[in-house]
Amino acid sequence: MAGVSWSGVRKEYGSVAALGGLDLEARDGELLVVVGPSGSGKTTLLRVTAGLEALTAGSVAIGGRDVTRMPPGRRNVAMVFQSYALFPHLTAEENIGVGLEAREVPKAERRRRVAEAARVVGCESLLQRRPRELSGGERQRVALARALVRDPDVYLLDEPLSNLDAQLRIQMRAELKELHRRVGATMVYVTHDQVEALTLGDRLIVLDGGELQQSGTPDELFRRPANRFVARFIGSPPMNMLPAAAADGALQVGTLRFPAAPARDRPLEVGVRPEHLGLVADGDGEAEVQLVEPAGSEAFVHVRLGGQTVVARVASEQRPQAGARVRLQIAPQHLLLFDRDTGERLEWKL
Amino acid sequence: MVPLTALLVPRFTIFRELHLTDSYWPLVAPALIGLSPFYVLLFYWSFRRLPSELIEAARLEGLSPLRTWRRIALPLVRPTTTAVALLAFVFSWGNFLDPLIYLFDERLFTLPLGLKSLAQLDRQNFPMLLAGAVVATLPVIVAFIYLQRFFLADRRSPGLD
Repeated sequence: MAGVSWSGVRKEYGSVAALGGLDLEARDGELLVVVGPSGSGKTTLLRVTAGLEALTAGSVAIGGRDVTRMPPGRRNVAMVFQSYALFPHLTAEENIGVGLEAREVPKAERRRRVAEAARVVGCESLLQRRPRELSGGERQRVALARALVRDPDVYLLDEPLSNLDAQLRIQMRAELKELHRRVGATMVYVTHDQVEALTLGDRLIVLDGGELQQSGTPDELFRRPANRFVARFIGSPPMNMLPAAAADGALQVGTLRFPAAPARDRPLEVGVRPEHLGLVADGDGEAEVQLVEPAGSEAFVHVRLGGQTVVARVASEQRPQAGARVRLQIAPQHLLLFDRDTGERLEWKL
Repeated sequence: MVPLTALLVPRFTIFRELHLTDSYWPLVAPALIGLSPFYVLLFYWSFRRLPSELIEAARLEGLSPLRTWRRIALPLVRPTTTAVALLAFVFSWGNFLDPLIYLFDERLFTLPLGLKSLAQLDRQNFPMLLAGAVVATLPVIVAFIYLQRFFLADRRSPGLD
């Protein structure tokens, strides 16, 4: 096992910079989740780590050894692809053992290790089947076993759950977390799904446009996002952003007034998570309910306020009807303050 | 894409220098070493259709380029290999010009040359000529019927899974 460190990692495709000089680290035994929207550079980061793409600048080290110019097969990393990349003409057993075969591991030893890896991921009964005879979840298990069998220093997982249906995804997510706990290896997991990122990761890295937006624990990113992008990207539904103004020592958000304001003379906005937005039925309220989305035990209420729509998450039995007028309530301790121009979060205490 | 006729003289010179004329080698060797650009193109298109992730996975597993080709890529383009083998066989089997150029000993004559000899013996004996044509065609038909399952019904190609 070993950690991974990226120093000044830059990758350009022509004039487009997919990674803009990143300095990052995945600690030994950590499950690091790299999250970001499409085109943020997260898969590129994984590919340069695996050696499938050459770096434009910078270096990658695994367990302290510089692997920047090392071919993929010698880096001792295993990668689980989004499509699993199982060889369709080989059985599951052959797929899992192909790396050992390439390393001339004796056949008996190979069979033993393949059986052990298959047992760990729970696919020992599938070994004689070909990929086309496997379901999505089973292919996923075989791909994981292929990664496990070589006992690599680092596991690289590129959106491995994105091809599964919602129910199976939740199941496999839990199994992956359990697998990481049992194996204790360094894993770098790429996803665009922030729920997956929050539930799986020991630590998260948020990328956008090839630039690091923030790194930290899931809690840190959720509660103390560094900027507007992270605040909106982490959490579902996204954080509501409302224009605000500081005047006379108070912070004015629409008709709501909070008795403190940062000493900054610049445009501001506040962020409030849907679960922290209270709705009170009030015929003279400043907002109108536009749409109600029931979601089992809770409901997402879209409220028209001034010129924009905000979303509140309320208990299902408390959901208002569409068209009702409501008054918004925000507990001040849940307000996050952002610089409207730069998007950076501002420290602010009531 | 050099015209075939432009290759006749240089090829003949090469095989004569190698003392391989009046043998089957000049008839078989061009097909075996993939001299036809059409076959090369067929393989090129087939290999290009392979998902790049399969090749990348092989690289990550530590397979050498040659091993990746032999263990991963080649089995996945089996329909193309079969089609090329069949096309090469049909072309070589029915080839009239090359045997005419390279073979001098009548005992080595191929079926197309034999048919031509039959026609020269008796131009009016159509039953014999047609029987000869059937005998000459039969192996091609049998080969096609046998091999078509590999390139029409092969379900192992990536993308079909």
